[in-house]
Amino acid sequence: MIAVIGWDGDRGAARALLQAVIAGRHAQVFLAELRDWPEHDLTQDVEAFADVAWETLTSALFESVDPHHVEWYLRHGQFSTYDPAGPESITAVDLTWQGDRWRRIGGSQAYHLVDDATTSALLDGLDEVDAALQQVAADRLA
Amino acid sequence: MSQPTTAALDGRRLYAQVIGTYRAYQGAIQVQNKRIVIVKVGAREQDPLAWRLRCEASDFSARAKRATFTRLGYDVAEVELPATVSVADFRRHIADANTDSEVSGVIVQLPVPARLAKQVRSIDPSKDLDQLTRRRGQAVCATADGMYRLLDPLLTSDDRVAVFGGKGFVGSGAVRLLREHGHDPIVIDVADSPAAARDATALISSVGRPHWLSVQQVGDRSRKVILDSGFTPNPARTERPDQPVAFGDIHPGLYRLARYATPVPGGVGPVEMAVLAERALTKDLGATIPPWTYGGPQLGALFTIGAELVSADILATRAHLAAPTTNRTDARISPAPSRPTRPPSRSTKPEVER
Repeated sequence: MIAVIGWDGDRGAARALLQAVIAGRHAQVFLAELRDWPEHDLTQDVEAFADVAWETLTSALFESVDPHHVEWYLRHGQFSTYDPAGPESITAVDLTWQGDRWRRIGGSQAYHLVDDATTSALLDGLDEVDAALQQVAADRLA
Repeated sequence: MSQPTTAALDGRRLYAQVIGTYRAYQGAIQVQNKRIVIVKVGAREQDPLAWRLRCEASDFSARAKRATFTRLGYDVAEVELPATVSVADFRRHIADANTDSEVSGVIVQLPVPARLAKQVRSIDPSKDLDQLTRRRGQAVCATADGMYRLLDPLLTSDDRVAVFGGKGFVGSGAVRLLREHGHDPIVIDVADSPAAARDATALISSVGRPHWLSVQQVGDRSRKVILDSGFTPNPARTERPDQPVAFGDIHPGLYRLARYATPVPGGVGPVEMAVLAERALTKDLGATIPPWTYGGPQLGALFTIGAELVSADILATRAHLAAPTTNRTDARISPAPSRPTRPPSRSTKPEVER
């Protein structure tokens, strides 16, 4: 599934692209940082975004996904900034489900850059961010 | 149509004037044992060539900063991090510099990988010489500041300025300064059509793509001024030393249609360094540092001393910069505002040929 999710925080509204790959009760959830919200940093707001993403996911999937079998990833690339971005990257995030919300484990140690081979494999299963955003926009108009 | 003769806006000359003047403060900095930390994130061999060239350009800039701050009496520490550095380690290096009382300034060389870009905002604002934290109400980055200082004596209210890369870090700073000074710039992202700039009399580019902006895209009308902050190292130069060191964003065919233009290299880059020098010294030595402004191609750098704007040449004849004489009529070029925090507005600029 894909969706653009929003969150209002101390620094105003922000949006991120949510992409989820579902397999039974397992899910890989990707949040892409988008360049039109330069004040926001997913690594600072990741718990809040995860909560919104989870709500979106479970609403769409009727809570079929087990929160203990969810992998969380951040996606960064040229879609994240108006400046040069370097190669697209995937960062795994250590989040734990606390019954009603997601919490990051280990502060800034919670982020782990995924190696090239795994990144390539993960990206193979996802639409490119620009294409996904266009799809979301088209779905809204339909 | 006869083509105008392009006059180079000589950043190296301005740099020599500014740093030559500011070197008078070298001893005052040295006794404070101040240090500037420059953080760099490298590229990997398997990364795309365009990204590796970006990182190479960043190395050029880091070397220029090291040379500049060293000339002013600072120790310079460069922290070189691998492309795969973790968020935690990246933030830790910045935090270490933030808390070190001997560190006066922290600069992260841009670009960094997108996943790290917003971590740069963890720099202590009081040590953020290049305004990388992008806090509202603060100055803009040194490159944008320098570009505006170059433009200021040349623009009139009739000029229309187009900023290519106007949504990026440097370009957005230039856009902000232009708006603050009453202009209505045309903001063009790399994904936009450059044709929107066809009628602009001034072009600014901070895109970082070699020779990408050409007459074919924006037309062959003459322009008053072109500022090019692009700097892409020439990979062929390692085997062909006769080749240029680097390429700017502006194609030579377009460059030649400008009355004034910044060369690459030797244009915007040295001006950026001159801005950083002023910011560092002002931070550490306070109000004794005369801010510089640009008097145009003929005058070069001018310094605000009390109520005057003074040329670098005349300032060099004065014995004590920290306690300058303010009544010498031979040194006076024009009235100056009382210690501006930004370059003087157009109403106070010296007269130069337009």
